[in-house]
Amino acid sequence: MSEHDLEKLLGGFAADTLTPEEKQQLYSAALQDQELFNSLADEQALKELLADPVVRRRLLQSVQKTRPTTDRGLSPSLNWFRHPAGLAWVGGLAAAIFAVVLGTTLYQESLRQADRSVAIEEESAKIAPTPAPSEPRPASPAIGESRLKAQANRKLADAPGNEVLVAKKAKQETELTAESNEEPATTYPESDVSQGRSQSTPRTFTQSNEDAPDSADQNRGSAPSTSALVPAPANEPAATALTGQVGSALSARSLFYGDTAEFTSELMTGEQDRRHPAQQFERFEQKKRLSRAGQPESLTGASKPLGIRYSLATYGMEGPHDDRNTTASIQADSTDLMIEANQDGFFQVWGDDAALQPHILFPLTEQDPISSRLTAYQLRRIPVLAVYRTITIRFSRMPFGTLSSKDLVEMNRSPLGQLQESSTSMRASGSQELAIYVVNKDPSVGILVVRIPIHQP
Amino acid sequence: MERDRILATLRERILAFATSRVSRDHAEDLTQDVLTVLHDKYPTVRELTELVPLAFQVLRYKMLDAHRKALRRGEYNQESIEELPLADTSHDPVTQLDQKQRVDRLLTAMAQLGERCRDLFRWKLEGRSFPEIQKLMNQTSINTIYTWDLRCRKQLLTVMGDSWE
Repeated sequence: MSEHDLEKLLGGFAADTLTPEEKQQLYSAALQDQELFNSLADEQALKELLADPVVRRRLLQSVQKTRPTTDRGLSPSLNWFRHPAGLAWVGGLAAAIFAVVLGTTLYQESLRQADRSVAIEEESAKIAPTPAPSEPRPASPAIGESRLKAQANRKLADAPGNEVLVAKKAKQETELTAESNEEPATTYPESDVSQGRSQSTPRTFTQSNEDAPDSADQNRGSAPSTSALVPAPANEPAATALTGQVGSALSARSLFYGDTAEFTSELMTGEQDRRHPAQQFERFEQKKRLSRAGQPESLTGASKPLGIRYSLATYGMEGPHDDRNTTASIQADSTDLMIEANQDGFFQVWGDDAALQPHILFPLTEQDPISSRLTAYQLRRIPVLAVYRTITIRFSRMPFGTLSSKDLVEMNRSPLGQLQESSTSMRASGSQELAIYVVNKDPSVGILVVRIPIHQP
Repeated sequence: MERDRILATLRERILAFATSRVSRDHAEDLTQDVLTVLHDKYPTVRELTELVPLAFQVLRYKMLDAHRKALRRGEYNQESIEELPLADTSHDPVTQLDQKQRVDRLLTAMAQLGERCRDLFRWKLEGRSFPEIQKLMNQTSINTIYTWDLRCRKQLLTVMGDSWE
């Protein structure tokens, strides 16, 4: 044993268990090696402690009784668990089990998500073409064949004397549809969205006369509640709150915004509805059907009925304008005429009072052309003095020429084939706006004349 | 080895050890005191295996005695000697308390050792020699026992704070 290895005998020195040979070797080495001597000197304290029989007995009892802390609770078969390799193996196994469990959970969750999506699609496919039970709306049927039926109804209604017949037919079809769909619309959250959108479009069809009554007369409880396909006007105030619904299959408002605009509405709302693949699919199928049926998809064109939407912003108005009474007039000190058309065209504004013959109010000066261009769905504001008894708006697809006597007669004559509908909406500022839609049912008619009575203060 | 030669070698080792613990003057006084005791009180002890452990024992006593004297003289805390109680040589409660604390620390430390170390200490406390422990542990080489014992001792010393005191 080398001198360095003699350090291993220090444990025996303290316990005084060295053999005589070991003692000889250790002490001889200690006399030669100062470090070993110092270690022995330090070990003397323990040797002195262990030399006491009482202390020795206590230590012995302690060692025999207690189990080592590191072994506590582990059986000898689990001793491998204390080694780093065992711990690493167990850790790896635990990580693998965790990964498997996590992967399985994610996979099951994805399967459940897929099942849920399929279920939602199936439900949406069932619901999407279904109108609300209380809503007769053949003028703007939501999807598919009822929409085609509405188109047919409109064609029938265009023929003179067919309005009553068309209204009856459409009513029968709507009743059949309502009977076959008893499910309330509130059952499915998806229908809520379309319901909110559809409220901006009247869809009753009982009115087919030229001067539709005020929407306030209609039953508000039967407000339409379905079909996201019915568009709201692009420039309609966001806070629109329709106070009346005109129950006509050929309502002026629906004709004003036109069927083809539904595609525009879909394009606008498609981004919002990407979360509803079932609805997107349904709309795609509907477009295909309409394309096969030869429906026009252009927004503007000669086949679209000519229509304007106007409103009057009055100052000093004493009471609300009642459009139900056609003899009623607007009482104002000054007026702004807001006008927009459903297609590109040209317009004039004429004024008439008791003293003078009808004369042009807009365009204002002689340098201007005799007619002003009006872009589709672009609002124009025309200030009008409150001295006129009547304001007349002329709107045409073609520019106006010099006014002839025939034109004057035409302005004073009651227009034929024109539908009129009014609706009250809330502006973003909180004020009310009474908008009036005037549409000529005959798409071939190229000019629209609207007379607006103004009350003299 | 002759007794005088052993004592001469011991003097060098004791002086070097004491110098590493106390000042040089105290270390020389300490070494002289140890050799005086060995010379005066144990003149018959001549064997190396008896004289060297006896020297370690005397050295430890002398160091503890010097420590207590320094404490009494106020070399550590500079307290007035009049305020200190008179020493009772028959009963040393300080030594007894020190021993009790060391035993408790040792018990606590040994409880934290592994099974092999505990077995080793148990057999050593039972008075087993390393060759006997070798047989008990079924080891072919006694060096294995030496190595295990050294590791266990270092582990125990570490748990106790690198000191047996």
